[in-house]
Amino acid sequence: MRKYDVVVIGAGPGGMTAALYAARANLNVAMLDRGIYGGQMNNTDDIENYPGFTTIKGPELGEKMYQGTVKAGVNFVYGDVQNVTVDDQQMKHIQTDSDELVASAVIIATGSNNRKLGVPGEEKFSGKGVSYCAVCDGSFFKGKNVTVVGGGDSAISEGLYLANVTDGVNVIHRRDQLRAQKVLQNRAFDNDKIDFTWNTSVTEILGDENHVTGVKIHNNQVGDDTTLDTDGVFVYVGNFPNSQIFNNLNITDQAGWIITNDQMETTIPGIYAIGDVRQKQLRQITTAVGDGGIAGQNAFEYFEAIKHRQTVKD
Amino acid sequence: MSTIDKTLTLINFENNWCAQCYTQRPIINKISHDFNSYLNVRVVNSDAHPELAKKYNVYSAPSTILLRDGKIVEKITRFIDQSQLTTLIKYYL
Ligand SMILES: Cc1cc2nc3c(=O)[nH]c(=O)nc-3n(C[C@H](O)[C@H](O)[C@H](O)COP(=O)(O)OP(=O)(O)OC[C@H]3O[C@@H](n4cnc5c(N)ncnc54)[C@H](O)[C@@H]3O)c2cc1C
Repeated sequence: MRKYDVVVIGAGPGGMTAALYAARANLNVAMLDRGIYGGQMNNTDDIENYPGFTTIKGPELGEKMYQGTVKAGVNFVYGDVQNVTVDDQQMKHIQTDSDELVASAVIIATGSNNRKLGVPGEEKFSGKGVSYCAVCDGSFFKGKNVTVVGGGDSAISEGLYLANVTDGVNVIHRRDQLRAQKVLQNRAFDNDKIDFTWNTSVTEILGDENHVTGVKIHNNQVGDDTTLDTDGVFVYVGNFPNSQIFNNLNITDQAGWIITNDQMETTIPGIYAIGDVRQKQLRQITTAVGDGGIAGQNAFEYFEAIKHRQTVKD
Repeated sequence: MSTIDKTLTLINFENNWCAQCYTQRPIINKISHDFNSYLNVRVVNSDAHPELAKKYNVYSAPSTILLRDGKIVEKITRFIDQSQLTTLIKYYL
């Protein structure tokens, strides 16, 4: 059992910022992640809306943020967190798959995960043509045609990335217009390798024993069903919060997003939530980073208050 | 790829862009060490060797393939943790 002042769960942009602030306030900080640091930035090609960089690759920004935390003295710990409990002394016990950590304060920064389409064939062909990460899997589709499902920022920006590495991209969207930022929309409309199938839902993913060969689609306006040939299906239809492991704490709304006030405090003293996992309007790197700074600073103040109370008692 | 003289061969496909490949790598190294006498381990960068990805019908990184006597017996097209991979290898040994 290792003891820290603050444990940050998740090393995405939110978690790394919170850890940086807490460590710079001289706290002993552990930052836990079940994968490599960087979070969803690792699945992103070009980031063009993080101030200070006209454009930067996701993994590169993750690396830069990580170097900052190392310099500040943050301890990076590998571990898949299973649950968090609070004891009578208000200490937080963080159980991972291989260890237990104890801390005065916990900052939850577990982010979100991609929502699945939930159609037949998706599970079967996952990793065999169905993908949720264009930068991880795009290069397997050189010289091939792929389908992107979705119409938000992620769908269009990753569609643009795929247009660079594949022969052609068909974006299937269930509405008649995109939700993505205008600048991305214009770029996609101007790209010869990208075309659009509007008002359409994917109802099944088809394939042979080895990989995807097509999709069954349903036109929501005309009502007809057809089949399209494709070698790969990249799914970007929204996210769900990585908060199931905190169910015992009762800190989420019905959809699972963690509720906080504007100080990133949950209803449990000393437990904060930041970034994508939090109930909020805009889920972006900049907002995760903003949340992280606030929580890191507040964790420090919480820790100082406990220390003060302890000294008075003694 | 060199000839297969041990019972089992494990091929792990990875690339520099895939976050889970970083997590998979130490597990493959550990497995390679633990089963050294029985298992051939090959790590393939799929960007550098698209022909191998094609040959084994690999479309995702990380992917791990187990071959026995040159025939594919398992294909895991996602991250696999150490205990699951150990169980699989023991099963085929
Ligand atoms: C394809 C794509 C493109 C995007 N493009 C942009 C963009 O251009 N600009 C922009 O601002 N935003 C973009 N975003 C959104 C942005 O990436 C997120 O808003 C941001 O990463 C959220 O940060 P976070 O720290 O809250 O969580 P995340 O980045 O999701 O990180 C959470 C971390 O927690 C870890 N974790 C989860 N559960 C556990 C557990 N039980 N135990 C241990 N660790 C755990 C995960 O492994 C992960 O590393 C994009 C997202 C995607 C998917």
